[in-house]
Amino acid sequence: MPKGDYLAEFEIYVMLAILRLGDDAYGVSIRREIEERAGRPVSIGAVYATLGRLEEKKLVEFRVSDPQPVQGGRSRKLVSLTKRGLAAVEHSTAMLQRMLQGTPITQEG
Amino acid sequence: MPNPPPFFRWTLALLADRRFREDVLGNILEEFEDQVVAQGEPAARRWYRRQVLRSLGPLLRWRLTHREAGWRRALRALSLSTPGQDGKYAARSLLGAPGFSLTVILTFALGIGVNTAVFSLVHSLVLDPLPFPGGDRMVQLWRYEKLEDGRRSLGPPAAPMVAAWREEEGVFDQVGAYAEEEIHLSIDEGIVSVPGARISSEILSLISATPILGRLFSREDAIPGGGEVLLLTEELWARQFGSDPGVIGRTAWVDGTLHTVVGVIPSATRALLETTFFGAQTKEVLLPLLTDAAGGWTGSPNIVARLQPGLTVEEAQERLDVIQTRVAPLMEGQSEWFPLVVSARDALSWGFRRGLWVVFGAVAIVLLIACANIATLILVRRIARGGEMNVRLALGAGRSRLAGQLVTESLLLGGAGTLLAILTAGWMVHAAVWIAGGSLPVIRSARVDPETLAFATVAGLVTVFAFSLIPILHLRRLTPAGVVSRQSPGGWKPSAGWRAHGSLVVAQVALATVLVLSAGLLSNSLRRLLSVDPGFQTEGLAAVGLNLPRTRYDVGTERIAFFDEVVNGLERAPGVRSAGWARYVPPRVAGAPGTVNVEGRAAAEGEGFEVHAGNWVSPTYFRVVGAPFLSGRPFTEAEISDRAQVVIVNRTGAERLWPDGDGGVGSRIRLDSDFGPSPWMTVVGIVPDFKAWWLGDSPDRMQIYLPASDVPLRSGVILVRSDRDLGEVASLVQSQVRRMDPSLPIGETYWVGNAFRQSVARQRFQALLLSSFGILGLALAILGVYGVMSLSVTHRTREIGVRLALGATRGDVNRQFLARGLKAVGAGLALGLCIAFFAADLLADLLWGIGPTDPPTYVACAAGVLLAGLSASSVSTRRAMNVDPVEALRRE
Repeated sequence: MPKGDYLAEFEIYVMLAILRLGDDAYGVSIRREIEERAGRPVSIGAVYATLGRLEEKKLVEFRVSDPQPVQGGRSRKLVSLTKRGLAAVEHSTAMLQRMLQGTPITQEG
Repeated sequence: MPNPPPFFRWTLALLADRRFREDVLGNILEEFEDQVVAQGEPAARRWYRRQVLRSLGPLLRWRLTHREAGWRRALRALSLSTPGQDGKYAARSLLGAPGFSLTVILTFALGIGVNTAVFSLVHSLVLDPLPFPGGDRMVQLWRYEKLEDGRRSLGPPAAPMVAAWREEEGVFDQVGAYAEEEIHLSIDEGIVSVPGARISSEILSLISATPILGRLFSREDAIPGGGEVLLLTEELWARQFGSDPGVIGRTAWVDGTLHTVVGVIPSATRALLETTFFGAQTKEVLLPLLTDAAGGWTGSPNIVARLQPGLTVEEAQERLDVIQTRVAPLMEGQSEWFPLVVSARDALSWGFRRGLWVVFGAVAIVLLIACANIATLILVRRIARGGEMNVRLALGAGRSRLAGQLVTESLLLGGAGTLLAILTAGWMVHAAVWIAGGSLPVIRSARVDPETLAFATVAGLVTVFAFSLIPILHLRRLTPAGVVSRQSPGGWKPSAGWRAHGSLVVAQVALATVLVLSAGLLSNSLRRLLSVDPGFQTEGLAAVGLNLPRTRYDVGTERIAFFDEVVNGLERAPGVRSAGWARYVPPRVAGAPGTVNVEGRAAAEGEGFEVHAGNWVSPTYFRVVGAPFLSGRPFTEAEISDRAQVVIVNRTGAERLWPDGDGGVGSRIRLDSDFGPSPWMTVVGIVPDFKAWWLGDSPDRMQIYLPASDVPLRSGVILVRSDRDLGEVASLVQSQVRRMDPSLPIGETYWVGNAFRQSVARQRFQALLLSSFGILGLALAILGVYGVMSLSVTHRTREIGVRLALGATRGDVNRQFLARGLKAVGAGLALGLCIAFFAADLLADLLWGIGPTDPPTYVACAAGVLLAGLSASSVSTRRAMNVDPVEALRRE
């Protein structure tokens, strides 16, 4: 992994959410996923600013979905991790895990 | 479904980046709607507001780090700023005066565009080195001998000179040689006549050539019998071999010997070769230039070399002069030969550099006129807007703000003008290449290059800046009180204004006069050239080149028989009035054969009368070209076949050889050429002088004609005088030739008259170019005169009104204005004539048949300029006559 792809905390949250959501990852679902799992309020602006940054680093990519199968359904801009994004998130979480190992706060539930 | 709070929605839309604005708004709306369903509208609205407030931070940070596209932002910022407003205002004000704007922009485009085009041409012809590495160090090596009249006769250097140059260390990097050759190539079936050249292996490395297939020449290829090889050009490879990659190793007959194809050179290399060495003539096959046992080049090839880095042409010349003192004793009969080093670029533009600089000067003058004109236009406009400026000043606009607006306006004008100028330049260079590319090989590489583009831009901007200064300086004189006072619009003082504008008119007219005069002189010179009598009747006379391959026509008598047979067949053909043949036909006579001595008059070695042009002709030649014998008779058939020692000279030749009239027909002369002295030959006829080389050929030169049997005549010209068109003549000759040799192609077919007209192509080009500039300059100057005169009339409307009211007649008023205009035009004319008179020498080299101070041309051009100035003034003063005194006074 090239240097400089270190991820900020919120970036890791967003990327993990994308991973979890799979084919259903887009602004709303990502925001809700983080809010529900991390239990902290997340704004849609923060999600998009982060996605924009991640896209610039070529860690995520967008694609436009077919319109929703309801009347007036909109197309969604779906997000997925790039190969590089996947590598980056693996690297960052692995580092975090290594750092956590043996520290007193490591109380896996 | 309820809507989200509009203010917050709007805030979000404003803040979100264009890239994800739609998505953010869509997503938040989707959730808002979910919230409405789940928790009711008020809670959903609260949620929405909270979301937007929380999004502010991240979105703002994003916007600060990720600006949107630069131009869009710049545009938006600009449209809100002072310069932006100035720009909008300026654009509106310029669009409101389309005549003025268009005139200024067009003046710009013509002045700067033409200037850029010519600068580009000068650049590629004179300043730009040849387009390959070391091209700027490439030189042509010639020899010259001094002639009795002080001129130098140039030619390819002698073998001992070349050998010494090649041995000398530290002067040349590389020395190469080349010679032209008509090559008859037979591939499988039939013969193709292909223009080719012999070159030494160094030539291709000098221009950094690489083959697209196979290899280039090596030194071993040049040893006779060592390797009979040839290089094909890409075009010939495609045409004759269907671009077959297996062509390497195939064989082709070249004049009876089997040659092997060793490589194919790309067409770009071919173009470079043709341009650099062969005067843009097509060369499709390359053979190695053969060397003799000592390694020297055979024949008298042209020599080129690349100087050692750091060595100048002058230094190389000095070195060669030193070498020559060593070599001279080895050169029998050529001891008066001296080496000459010429930069290859100079050699390419030989003879028309002076013309080019004159054209450059002309263009600079047009630019100056254009600038003066723009200045006038801007001033005129400012007067017209003086009232507006006064009002705005009175309403509280700052002077700096007004100045800013004037600058913006000028910048807008200049920008548009410069843009159009660049387009004009590109188009003009294109046109010049198209017009002159054929006769002027170097021009083909001409492009509007980046430096020139920069030149144009700077020229445009400097002009703009300079002219925006003029009205700004006037701004200082404005006072808010001017709007109510009787101050004339713009604080204009009539006397000072007239002085400024009058001097602009004088300058413009003077410059235009210089241009018109130059154009007039060149056109007159061209007119005289075109009216020159070539010495024989060119109308209806067609020439057809014919080359006989050595392999099949090795014996001289066979060749003569062949030409005779073709001519006899042609003379019987319908529509043909007469036919003949010769080695050359004017204006394409190839060489000065040597000097002539008269029997019975002692002459030292190397002395004698220089022959300007020599030709080898058939008995019917003079009948076909339509030149009457002044005395004597043409050659007879018997004299040709018996190789009789007979000769025909022209009138000037006879006069020079026998100034006292004590000789002529029946006398005997001898020709001393490079091949040694000929036997004594009896003069059998005297013919009129022909123009041998071009229409401007100097009249007093000796020409001699030898029987066509006298040379190893492999190539010649069939001459046909007929009523038929050129294509019919060509097919007639072809059918006659085919009757005797089905595989022999005929060469170029052309009207002799056309060839003469083409011989003055350069003069025509120069005259055409300068005439266009002359017309352009004069038109601009007339526009300037008109502008200033109109200004003067507009400005004095009140005064005219008063004078008319006090009883002056309209004729008086008109005369007064006309006199004033004429005074300025006359002063400009006088100044221009003086400049032209003192700069006359610059043109002298380009003129033929008239001097650079030719009085009739001066008178005609002066009259033309005066008339143009007069009509421009009278059109503008007519307005003065139409002033209604009541109306004029009421304006007060």
